[in-house]
Amino acid sequence: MMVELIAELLNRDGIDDWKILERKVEGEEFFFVKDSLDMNRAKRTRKFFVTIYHDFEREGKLYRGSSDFTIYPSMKREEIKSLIEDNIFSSKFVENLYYPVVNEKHTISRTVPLDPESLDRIIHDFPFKSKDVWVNSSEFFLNRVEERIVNSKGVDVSNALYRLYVEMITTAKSKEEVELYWSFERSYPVVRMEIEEAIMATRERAKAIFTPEVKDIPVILSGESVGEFFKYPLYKTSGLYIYEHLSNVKKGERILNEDFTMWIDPHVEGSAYSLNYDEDGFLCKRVKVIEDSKVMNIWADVRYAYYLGIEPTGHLTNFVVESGKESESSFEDGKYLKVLSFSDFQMDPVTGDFGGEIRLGWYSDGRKKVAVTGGSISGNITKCDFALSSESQLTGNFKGPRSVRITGAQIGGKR
Amino acid sequence: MKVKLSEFLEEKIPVLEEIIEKLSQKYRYVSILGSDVRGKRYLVTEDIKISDSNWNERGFVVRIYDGLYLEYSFDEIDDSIVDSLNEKVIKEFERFEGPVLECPLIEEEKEEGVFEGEVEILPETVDAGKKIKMLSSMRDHAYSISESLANFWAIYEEVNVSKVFLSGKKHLNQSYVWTQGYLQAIVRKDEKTKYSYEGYSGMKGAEILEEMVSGVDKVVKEAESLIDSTGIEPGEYDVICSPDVAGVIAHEAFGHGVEMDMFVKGRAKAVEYLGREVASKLVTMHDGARAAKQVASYFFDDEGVIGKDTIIIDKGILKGGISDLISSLRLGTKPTGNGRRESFERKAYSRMTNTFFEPGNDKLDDMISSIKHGYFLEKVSSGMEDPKNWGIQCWILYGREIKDGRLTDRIVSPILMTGYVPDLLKSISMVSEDLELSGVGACGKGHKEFVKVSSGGPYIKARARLG
Repeated sequence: MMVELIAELLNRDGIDDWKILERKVEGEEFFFVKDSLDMNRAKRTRKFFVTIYHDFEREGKLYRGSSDFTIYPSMKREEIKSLIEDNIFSSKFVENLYYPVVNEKHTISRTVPLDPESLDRIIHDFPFKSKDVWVNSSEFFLNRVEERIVNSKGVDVSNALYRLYVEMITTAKSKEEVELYWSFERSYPVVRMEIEEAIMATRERAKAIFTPEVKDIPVILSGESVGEFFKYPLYKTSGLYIYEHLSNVKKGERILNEDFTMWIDPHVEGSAYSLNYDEDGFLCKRVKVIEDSKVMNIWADVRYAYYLGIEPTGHLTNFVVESGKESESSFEDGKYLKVLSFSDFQMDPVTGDFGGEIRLGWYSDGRKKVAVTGGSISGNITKCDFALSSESQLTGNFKGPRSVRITGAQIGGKR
Repeated sequence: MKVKLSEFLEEKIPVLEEIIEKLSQKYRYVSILGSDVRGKRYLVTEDIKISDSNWNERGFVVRIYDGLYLEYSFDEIDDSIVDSLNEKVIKEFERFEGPVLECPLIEEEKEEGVFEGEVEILPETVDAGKKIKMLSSMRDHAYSISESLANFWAIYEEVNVSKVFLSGKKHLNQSYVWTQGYLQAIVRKDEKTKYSYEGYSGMKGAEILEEMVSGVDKVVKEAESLIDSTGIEPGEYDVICSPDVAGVIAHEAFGHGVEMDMFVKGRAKAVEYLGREVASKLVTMHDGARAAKQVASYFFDDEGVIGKDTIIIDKGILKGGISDLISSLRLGTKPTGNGRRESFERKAYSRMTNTFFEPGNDKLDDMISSIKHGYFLEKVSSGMEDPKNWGIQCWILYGREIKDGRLTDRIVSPILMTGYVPDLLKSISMVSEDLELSGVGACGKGHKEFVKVSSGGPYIKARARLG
């Protein structure tokens, strides 16, 4: 067994602690142009991500140097020994304050949650064509991932899961062809309803006009951008950000103007990011981070929790924002600009600046609603007010409201 | 100093040739790409981290032809490879009942070649202690010159690339080194946080560390100056784009737009505009592994096609695209050496390499003085393409206001530049004599498939929508 061989070579002078994360991936991939198969691929890979720790004292203070490196299954014993030697040498120059490795032994082993349908079944049921709209191209990736984490303190735990990733481009035509980009990442098959919604949205883009120049109206973010919007409070409450002075939030303080509640949750059903154990072998915990906009807990892995003197929660898996009380339809009273698809909506978690170019949205002047495209929205989350919809969604590692209504964002449109 | 091919790949060539021979008895085309990419990343900030480069990989991908192309990626060579290929790929293909997009057979010419890159200082000849010491002194100097500095990052990354491409008629080897450095200063005053960065990259060795030293003062002062920046009033403005902003425009506007796998899918509006005017006459744009010496320069691509210098736009006229091998077979065009994979584990797509605008004849001072009211845009954070509908989005770190032909003290930050690609490129009215390329970032296709690229150009004057 390769893990045992690596462990044997790591139990030597110059290494005070070590950890190995073994990751095995078996994947199937199918690529389509319209409904025709363009290519199919498969892969089988195995990697061993190793960290060695080297302790030393300087002026009465205990330090822990470390170095991370990867061992490939094709490496022979002598090559691994030489790699370890190089990394022991490197770790001596890493002067970081001491922190421990995980030293709790658990016996929970994650089993694969659902035996997913085979990929050809998913593809067989995939709606490549619909009225006026077609899937221009699509890619399907199904990976079975197995992880085992062992360390020098006797931790030996594992995760196993399926990751399904589907990317598709939908196209519709009015005067000219228009397209929208979609991706879905899940631990189980993508639901047909999500694909139907994507197809309907493409139909809307085909009749969209350029976003008009409008001011001082609410902006409604819907879909994937909502998770990105909440990356500001997510990272501001991270132990790493606080330790690195990228955040100065403190427990008990308000983080934003509006009330909302946020959790770190390693067990969100359907998420491809749900795990029992993080990469340190720590049993991840569900923790309330923010309640009614007040910081309740800082989330941190074992190292940064030790530095900050707090309880560790483990590395980030999923984050959950509790849904609000108002329905999405109630957001659509009066004037508003609702955006479903951006070129690339981004939140800067350090500054709170956010924005993106609009690919599909709807503008309402209070009487009539029209599909719009082009132009942009931008703003800073700390200067905005917002409300959360009661409907929820799962996108990537975010579970939370499907829409958020923002006041205080700028709209860049055309006169 | 010359960069040698990895011993691991050298040793595996005979066994890879055996696999090719075995599969060639059944399939008319068989190739194997072998990659051994080794690198280290050194980060000095509040604490210190030494880790593998994210670009590291070691493994193989075999491609066969069976009416269309099928692939299997693996990192352990044993007797099961041919069986696994049969079981996991060929049987899956045979079970597939839907339509298939057939593709012509790759007709290869005999080709053998070796490329060994050369750098001043091979990274492995400088020990980790010296690298950490240099980065730590950059960080310490940054703190010594600023009271508002909240955090400072000094990152150095070295990547040693070895690849072999083997098929019935081709035997190609390449080995080279690229390095990059990154400085980021984060400043805080009251509750406002701002940052700036400086990037360094090239087909260089550890000598890049020396280049980084001189950037510390600049990045700290720049970040401090952004603390008093304000938001921009959304609207259309005359702008001067720095070479990195110009580079991202080239990359997003007509780089992604002419990736020829998009032509196959009918996703590229550019097809309708080949031979037509898409930009101002001042615009000539290149892409290619051999168009410049930067982080995306190589001898052959991940499909065994020799890298080239492709002119995409010539004096405003769209001339052609950049292509992977399979797309070129389907389109009946010549491959341009742009078939690239994120790693041996991923599919090859048409991808950019070094993408840039050619320099012009204008002086930067004249360009600034020609503007009544506008902005001098510097430092790109990110960009996104829209090849079908030609939208463009670029996040720019900051802009300096220009009023009556002079730079004022007013700074706006951040800026979201959006627009319609031909409008933006046709509005280019002045192009400076400079040419700078930067390759600190990576490029994705959609939201995945990251490859190393560089982009750049001269200073350009254009009209853009800012928000």
